[in-house]
Amino acid sequence: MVTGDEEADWIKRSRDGDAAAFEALVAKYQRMIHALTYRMTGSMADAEDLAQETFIRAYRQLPSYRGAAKFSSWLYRIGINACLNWKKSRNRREQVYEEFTQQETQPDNTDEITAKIQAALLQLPDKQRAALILTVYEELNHAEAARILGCSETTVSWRIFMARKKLKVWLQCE
Amino acid sequence: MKSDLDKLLKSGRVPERSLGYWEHFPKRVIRHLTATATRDPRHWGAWAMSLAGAGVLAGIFLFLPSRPPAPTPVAYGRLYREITALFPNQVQAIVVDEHGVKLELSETANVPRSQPLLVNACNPAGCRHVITFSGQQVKINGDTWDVLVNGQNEVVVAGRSTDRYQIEARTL
Repeated sequence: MVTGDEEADWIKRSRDGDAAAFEALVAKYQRMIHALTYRMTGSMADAEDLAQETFIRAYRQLPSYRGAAKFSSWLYRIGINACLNWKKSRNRREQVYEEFTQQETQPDNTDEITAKIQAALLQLPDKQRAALILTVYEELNHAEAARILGCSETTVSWRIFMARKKLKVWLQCE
Repeated sequence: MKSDLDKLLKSGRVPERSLGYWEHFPKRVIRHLTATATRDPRHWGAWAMSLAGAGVLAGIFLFLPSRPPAPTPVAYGRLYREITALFPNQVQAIVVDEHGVKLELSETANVPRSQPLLVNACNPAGCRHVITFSGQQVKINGDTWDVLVNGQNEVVVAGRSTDRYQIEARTL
């Protein structure tokens, strides 16, 4: 169990160029960031690349981390931005969705319902998907999600409302 | 209804990765950052010391207690083997001077294996020793030299020195 003091020490030492301290931070948050990037992309390979990109950006931006927000929230923000920029730069949301649904073999431990949910998530516009992932999977409240996404709480609420409306139809859960 | 949807969404699992993946991933991130940092000599010391602390470069630092190795081909050969074992096909150059060892690493493992070459560059201020390969460029204090091996297995160093360097090169 990592204490807040220990994490603060890792952050401080990482700022000073201590690789072992930053490695400890990566080890602590790697599963959280991989889950985020996988749900945003639906691709194991892209999730891996984006998770690495997130931590590299985090290291470079560490001097700007003031500790006002939780470190996990700050990392989420970097991860979400990495995913959104990735989507923007490659402009391939529909292509990703098609690739995902056309994969002949899903990862071994991905069952049918998981594949169906991931396919539905990928059909959502990026910002709606990001808002939904943060609030449903990461269980953040709307205010926290708004801070991470850099928008108002009302905008987050609206995006989640729209995303839910679509998912209910696509997943036939009414 | 909202909770039903949440329950359904949460039943969608993220594919699990192996334990080995989770053990390796943080090291990969650090390796990437280290490779970037080694391009800036000001950052090298902190990163290398940290890696040594993590045990990754322990072998090298046992070999390099506090100053660069004596300039013998055997010592440089050993240094070369230790570092290429850590970063296979990534090493473009290993620079040794009075401040220690700096690595020039490729971001991807795309540097072909070939005969290592030792380039000694000395001026009145001191010497730098660079382990590199034919076809690579060596940069010291803003001077750039191309290092090549000709058909007679002789090392040719081509470039202009602005800092009165005496260059000597040989295969390692």
